[in-house]
Order: sequence, then C-alpha cells, then structure tokens
Amino acid sequence: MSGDAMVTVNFVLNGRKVEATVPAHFTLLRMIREHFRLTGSKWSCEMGECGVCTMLVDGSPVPTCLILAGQVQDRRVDTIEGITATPLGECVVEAFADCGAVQCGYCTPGMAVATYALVRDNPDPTEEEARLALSGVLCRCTGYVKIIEGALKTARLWRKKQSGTAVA
Amino acid sequence: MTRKTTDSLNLVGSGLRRNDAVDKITGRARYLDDLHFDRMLYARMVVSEIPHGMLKKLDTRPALKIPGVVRVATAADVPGINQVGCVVEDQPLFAVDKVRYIGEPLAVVVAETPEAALAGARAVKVKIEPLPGIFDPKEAFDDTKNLIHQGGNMNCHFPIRRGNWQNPLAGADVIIEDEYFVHHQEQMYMESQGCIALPPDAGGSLTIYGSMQCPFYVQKAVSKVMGLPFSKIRAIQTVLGGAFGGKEDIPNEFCAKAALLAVMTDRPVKLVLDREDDIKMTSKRHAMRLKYRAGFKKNGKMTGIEVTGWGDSGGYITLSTVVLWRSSVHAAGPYVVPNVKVDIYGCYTNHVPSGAFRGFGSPQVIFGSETLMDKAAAALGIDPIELRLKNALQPGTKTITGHKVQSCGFVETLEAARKASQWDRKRAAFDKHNSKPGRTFKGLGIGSCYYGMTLGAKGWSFDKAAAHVMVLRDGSVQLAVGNTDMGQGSTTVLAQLLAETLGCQYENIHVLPVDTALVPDSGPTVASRTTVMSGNALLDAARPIIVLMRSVAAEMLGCAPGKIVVKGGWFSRNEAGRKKRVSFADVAGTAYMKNVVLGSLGSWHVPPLKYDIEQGLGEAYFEYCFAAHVAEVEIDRETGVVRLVHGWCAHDSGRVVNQTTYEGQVEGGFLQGAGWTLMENVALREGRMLADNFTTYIIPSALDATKVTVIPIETMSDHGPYGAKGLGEISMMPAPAAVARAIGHVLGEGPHELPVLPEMILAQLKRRGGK
Repeated sequence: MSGDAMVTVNFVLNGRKVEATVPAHFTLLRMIREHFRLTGSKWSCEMGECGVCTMLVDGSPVPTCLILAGQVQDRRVDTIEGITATPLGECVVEAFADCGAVQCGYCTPGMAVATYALVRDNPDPTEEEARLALSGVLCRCTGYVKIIEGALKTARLWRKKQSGTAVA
Repeated sequence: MTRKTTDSLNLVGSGLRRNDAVDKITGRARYLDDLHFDRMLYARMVVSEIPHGMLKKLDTRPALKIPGVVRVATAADVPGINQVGCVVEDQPLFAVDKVRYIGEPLAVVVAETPEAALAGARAVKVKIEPLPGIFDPKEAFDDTKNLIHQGGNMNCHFPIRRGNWQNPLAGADVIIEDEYFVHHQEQMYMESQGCIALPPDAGGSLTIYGSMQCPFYVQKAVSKVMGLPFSKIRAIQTVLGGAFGGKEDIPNEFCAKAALLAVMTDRPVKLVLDREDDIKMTSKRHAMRLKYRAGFKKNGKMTGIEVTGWGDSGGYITLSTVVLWRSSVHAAGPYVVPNVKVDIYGCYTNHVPSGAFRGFGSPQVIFGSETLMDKAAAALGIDPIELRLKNALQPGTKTITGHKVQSCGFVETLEAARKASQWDRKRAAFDKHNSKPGRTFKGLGIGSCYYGMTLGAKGWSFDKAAAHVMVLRDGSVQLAVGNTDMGQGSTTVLAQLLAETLGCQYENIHVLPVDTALVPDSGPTVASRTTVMSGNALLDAARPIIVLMRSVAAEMLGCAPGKIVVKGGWFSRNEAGRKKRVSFADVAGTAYMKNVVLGSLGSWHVPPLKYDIEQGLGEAYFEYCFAAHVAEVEIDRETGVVRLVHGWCAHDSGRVVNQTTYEGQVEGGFLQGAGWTLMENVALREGRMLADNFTTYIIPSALDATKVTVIPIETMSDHGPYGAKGLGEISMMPAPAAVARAIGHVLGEGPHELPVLPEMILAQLKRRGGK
C-alpha cells in the first residue's frame, strides 16, 4: 500500500453527483471522511464487525470500511448527514433523542442509518425484526434497550407522518 | 437518612432529553478522529512483542529511510522526565532497559501518512533478550527470584482487620470455603484511544485534543514529560466515544508522546490507535485469584469472613494501588460481618497493565462474595435472597471496615428485585423444569452489592470539585466544570441541576466543553463522582447568584427579596389577588445594567474521613450506594449456550436526577456485566491477548440483549445534590454475579470462573451426568 496509485470515482453522494480522486487503497469510509470531510459516519474496527461506519450504498446499509472507494463508481451513497435531512431521517432523529437511545454516540450514526433502512422497507417492524436489523451495529453503552425503542418509535412517527401526508 | 416525600422539584427527576442527543445522531458531534489540522502528521508506536526481557538494541535509522517518515522519538528525546506512572513512578514513557509486557512502547514514528508511519514503525530494528515471563498473579506473588521490578513482585497490600480477625471463623456452625478466578475484561469502548497535539503556540504553550476522561491528568503528565509548567499545557476533551475507565489515566501516555513529537517536528501530530493496538496497549479490568472462607450460624447470620485476593497488575502499577484498595473494602459484599480478615495484594505480571474499568476492582470480589453466599444458602437450606436479607447492611449497621452506614436502601433493593422478578415462584418452577427432559435449562440468580461513593479515604486529597457559573445578560447561562461526559449524560444531568437551582429553563444552560484553559479542575471523572461532586460545586456557585438576582428582581417588582418565588424562568411576587412577575432574562439584563456581576466559582469537597489504612478500619467512603440485580437465563442443553431472558435491576443511588439517563446507565451496565460473564474472553497466552478485535473479543449485540426492568429506590443522601448519589459503576457491578448465579442455579455448583463459556458449562453438565 504505497498510496501512490490513485483512482477517480464518480458517484452520487447524498443526492448530488460528485467526483473524487483518492489513493486506490482508500475505503469508501476513508474517502467520505478524509476527502469529502463528512465525518458523521465513524471509524472503528476496519473489519466490518462493529458497524459504526454504516452508510447506504444503492439504498442498502453496509459497513463502508469493507468497500474500496473505487467500487462505488456510478452508485449512490447516502451518509448520516444526508439521511438525517430527509423526512424519514427526521423521524429517526426525533425518536432516538426522545427515547434516550444515545449515550456516547459513537455507534449512533450507524444505528440511525440501519434504522432508516429498516423503517423505509418495513414501516411496522416487530421488536425482533428491529433487533435483527440493528444487530450489525455494536453498542457498548446502552444495552440496546432504548435503541430498539428508538427504532420502533421511528416507525410509529413515520407511519403518522405518512398518513398525515396522505390526508393532506 | 431522609426519604423522598412530596417535593416541588420542576426538572430534577424528569426524563429531559439529553442536550447532546441531536448532534450525536446527525453526526455533527466531533470526536477526536473527526478533527483535522493542516500539515498534520500521523504517529505510530513501536512496541515490545516480548512480554519480559532486556532491551538490547533499538535502531530507529531504518525507519527514517522510509518515504514519508519525518521523525522518530525515543526516550533520549524526552526533555523532561521519561515517566508516566500515574500513582507510582514505575512506568517509563518509552522503555529504556527492560520491557515488561507485550505492547510496551519503545519509540514513536511520525510520517506524512498513516501508511508511512506504519511502515516506519515496522522498519525500526528491535532486539530484546527474553526473560522468563510470569502470567499469574499468585505465581508472581510466590516467586521471589524472577522479579519484574526490583523490590519484589507484590506492589501493594490492603488488609482489613476487624473483631476477632486472627480467627474470624471461630464459633461458626457452618464454614463455607471456595476459590475463584476472574479473568481480565476489555473496556471495548467503540471509539479507540487517540489524541492530536498542536505545535507550540507563540507563547510556548502546548494544546492537546484527546479522547480522555481526565484532561487535568493529561495536563500534569504532559507537563512532567515536556518539562513545562501546568499553565502552558492546555488539554481539550473531544466528544468521547465511550471510556468506562479505560480513558482515565491511559491517555496520559499517548498525549505525552504526541506532544513530544509536535514539539520535535513543529507540526500537529495525530496519534490514533487502531483496534488491535488499543487492545494490546491499554489497561484492562484486573484478573484476580480469590480465596473465600466464611462462617455462619445455623440461623444464617454470618459471623466471620476471610478473603485473600491476588490482583494481576500487569507490568506496571498504573492505578492498581487504588483499584485494589476498593477491592478490599468491597470484599465481603453489602453484609454485616463482625469478624473480618481481608488481604488483597497487587502483583506485577508480564501482562498489559490492569487499571480502571467501571466498578474499579469491585465486580471481581462481588462475584466472589455472591457465589459464596449462594453456596452458604444451599448448605444452610435458606433461600439465597433470604440469606442476603438476614445479613444485609441497613441504616445504622456497620460495613466490614466498621463504618456506620446512613443512607441505605439495600433491603428495599433486595425486596424490589425479588418481587419484580417473581423470584419465589420462578425458582421453584425452574427447579421443576430442569428436572424434566427438554431443550433448555432455566436459571434465576441474584447479585447484590454496595458501592463506596467517589474516591474514598485513600483518595481524599483529590476528592474536590469546582464549578463556574455565569449568567449572561440575555439570561442564558454558561456552566464550566472539569468533569467530562463520556456518554453517561453528565452534561445533561448537571444542566438539569443548575436549571432547577437557578429557577431558569433547562434549555438556557450551556455546558462548556472541558478545556483546561476554560474550566476549573473538578477532579477526575471516575468513581461515579460527577453528579455529586460537580453537582454540589455548581449548587455552591449558584447560591450567591440567586441572592443577587433575587435582590435585582425585588427592586424591579418593588418588594422584599424574601417575597419572591423563582420557578420555570420567572421571578414572581405573590400577593393576595395580584400576581406580578419578571422573566429570568429581564432580571439578568437589568442586573447587567446595574453593574451586578452574575458569575461565581463554587466548590465542594468530600467531608473528612477517618480511616486507618494499616488495619483497614474506619470511614472508607463518605456514602454508599446499593443494588440488587436478578437475572433470568436459559441454557441450551446441547450447546451450553446461555440466553439472557430478563434482568431486574433495583438501585439505591439516591435521588434520580434524569429518569431516562438513569435507566440508560442501568440497562447498559447490566448488559456490559452480563457480557463479561457470558462471552468476553481475552484469551491471554504467554502475555499476548489473542482476542484483539471485535471478531475475536465478542461483546453482546442487539441479538444478545434483553429486557431490563430498572427499579429506582430513592433513599436520599444528606450530601448529594437534591439527595442524589452515584450510579455510573454500580449499574454494572452486580450484573456479572447475577448472571453467573443464574447459571449456578442450573449447575448447582459454581461457576468458579469468569467468563463462564459454553464449553465450561457443557463440561460441568457432563460431569454431573447431565440430564
């Protein structure tokens, strides 16, 4: 890994077309954090185990420390910064803050992205479905109790918001 | 002891939303690794890969040939003192002659990129002549020839001698004996350790950003290494991604190295540990060998106890001499025992140093004393909770150090956990279930404990806090304290306490970031002390401000200050039929125009404690918290895998300041404790930790987690703010024992070791002819 070989990547980042030239060995996480300086998604294990770097790639939540930057050519990447600015993302923020789902906060962006993907696909998840959906992100502070509550509350807020929109 | 009756508190007790929640969810909160400075260099450490040996050669020249490498620092470059021992000066910043654990730093390489720094670190030539290693604290204690440090392998001894201590079991009807071995536990905070040191500014001051619990420790440590006065060292805490004790003293080592390199290169230096280095180099919970003997009367009264413990300090003392003192005081559990002989020893080994981790030397002995209680309960034919109740500390009774407890709701925690878990019914039902064929065994177990608040007699001189409160002219309030939020929610709780006290709105309080140049030293953020210490300090600071604001408001309202009621952001004058009021902001603005300064520095310290360290007798701590956890588990009969079913956690931590963060601490503490019992296995072999990342050191995931019922027992403290005590550590402390006892309910005997892994459970089931 000399860092000399560079790669140029074109992709859609939080809804905008972008281009970046970064060392070829950079992971997606590193490109987002170091090139675009979007540091909301956290760095931790670099082996796809802890999930704190989770982002959406073409809509699916993935640990971005396992993807090379060059692999997202022509794909769509959504980070915590982009996600929390969406109507569903706002529900995640509201629900997590309300339920006390946050302690140290280092896993929280990863948890929030996983919750977003869960509720988008399944607006009425069971507790077990929420547990499974969030099991790819590790937390050392909360015992997961209030994070699971936060995910279920996100779904409730989202359903409410959608029905409100439908009526309006 | 006072108890909660009806009170008129506005904010204290409610589950207000954390003041940092939204920033953390959206990713706006900036952690150490999120910071970047122009011309920043990246550091990588060169460490010993030999657990014990003589350093014969350290050639850094090959590193300088690697493209991108800028400098390499070793002990020879230290301008001040090459020493980072936190309590005892036994630990060099860089090893010079001897190495004592795998991961001990020898040099640091800085380079233009992390890749070049890594290549540089690998290029440094190291020759170490191995010495025989010692990897067991008891073996180290017994070994008088192979000495890890001159002066012997025992580095501390904490005795307790009370009553007939020479023969504490004399006169007992039943004597219970047992031995335990508790392995290390890794903190596994999600954010690894890291810091950034900036080059000296125009005045020669150094600024260090870091993921740290105790910036004032860092100030002191960097001062010593760099030979600069404290006033020229500025340590700034970045948002902490968890710590659990692991970032108490250990950041000193990294901050000092980064500061040295920043001075040597005149460039910012970032030193962030990857997970493998973090696990290899940073302190763990002490492994401990324990021997217990206790005497009971037939009626269940404990008459005497003898506890001997050997704690694994690792290669250096770091905090062993304070951690293991706490082990001694907590060795017999929350019980009344008249005759006591306790000996806790700290022993050097060739493991990575052990240090601070939530509970600080107490979860190990709680596992010991609670396992022993259950063994006694079985021998005496008494229900485990009943036996605990017979011996429970109560207001007016004395701890094993002879300290009369005042605020004590221990009996209530036991009763509450028993009731909520349906203990009596389930214990019987599970025994029946387990005697029949099936897929699972079911177990229910109890763990209970007490916790001496804050640093205690041994750390009394450090047990003070200061807080600065400033009401600005628009009515917003700045609060500066030296205690850090590592995730536990202290900035929220302290803001709540201040808003309650000033009578303003919670949203008005802005808690400043902890920066040694901006905030007063409130002592270390450890020992569950922040709510009480900084809370009392801010109450003290608020007092004169309230007097000033009331007198300004009285002038505005045309009445005597005593006639004014302050609540929810309003100063009101109540008169028959008429109500006049002015807002908090108006009072602040008027005070400003009248040249009344609404700023104050407050402080608080722990009351004097009389304690005899030679005999282990007296007032060990100024106050105690109590807890009882009941755990329900299911064990797969084929695999030995344990599933957590439910936790019931009853806590006397005095007044609940924030209901939500209180529950969060207990839920998280319970799972962290359960994780240690069930799966967290450091796998140390010849001084090397084989479990060195999330793949091999398994912590509980959302699928392992369970429901936790949190039951606060609000036995008010006469000392803490609004009657609060501490919660951070005791939320975790009884959990390992509770889960182990639930497994013990199934196994009948033991477990004698933590963690208790599925293969150990299966082996024991097989031995007893598993049903």
